[in-house]
Amino acid sequence: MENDLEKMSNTMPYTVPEGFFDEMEERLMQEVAPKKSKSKARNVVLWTSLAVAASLALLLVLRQGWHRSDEASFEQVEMAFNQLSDSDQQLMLELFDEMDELDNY
Amino acid sequence: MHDDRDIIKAIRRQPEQGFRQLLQRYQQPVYWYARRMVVAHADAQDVMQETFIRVFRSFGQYDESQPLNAWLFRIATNEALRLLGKRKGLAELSLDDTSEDLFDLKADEYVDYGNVEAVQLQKAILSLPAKQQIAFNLRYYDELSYEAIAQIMDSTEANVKANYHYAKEKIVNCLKTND
Repeated sequence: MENDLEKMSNTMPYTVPEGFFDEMEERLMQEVAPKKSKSKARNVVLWTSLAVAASLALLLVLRQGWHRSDEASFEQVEMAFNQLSDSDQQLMLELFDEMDELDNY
Repeated sequence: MHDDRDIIKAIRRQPEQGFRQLLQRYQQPVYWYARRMVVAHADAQDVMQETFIRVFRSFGQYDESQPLNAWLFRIATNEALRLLGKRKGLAELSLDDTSEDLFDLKADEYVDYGNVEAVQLQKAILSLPAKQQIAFNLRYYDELSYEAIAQIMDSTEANVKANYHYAKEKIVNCLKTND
């Protein structure tokens, strides 16, 4: 009879859903991955925005020949924005969106 | 497949990369071990998840003088006993609980009841007290040494051998009566 038990070795009636182990591996990896803190993310966005804003301001100053104006008009900002490359324009828009999301959080 | 020493080194150096290796090596053995104890797929999933999260968070306390698989299965055993205890309204089920029929092959979506022989074997295993069941499963399915099983069960090799042989005898008798 012991031989019967040995013949049955490793047979189990249990099954798992398809893809279960791959899914669990990813879920567990996410579970232990270090989480990015919101304040850190916010700082990165802020510093990047400041860097882009500074570049924009510098561009304005250089284009206007360093003459003073009380306040930059909307047209001036738009002109400066238009002189940025497509990727910089895209980055600015994304940053504004992210800032908006963080403020609404 | 990575061996245990490589996994330990990897976890010490780069925890996430090492943890992935640990999962690839032990995810399935731990799941099936838990499944044989708790039966339901969802419960085995919980036990496996809790086990690995606990392992990751307490890896600093792992004593390398004991085998990695023994430490892992010990944590999985505790998690499974905790879950089974909850079902009985206890904080944790004791390994010394000698009552039989603690477990049951209850209806579950992921059980193939058409595999009559395998169902009978599982029913016979589930009719054993916790200690005999664990000793039997770890030896019969996971092919662990008596020494490793003794470490998992916090017992002696002689005691594990005795539990395994009692279990085997009872299972054989149970299968005989079902023939």
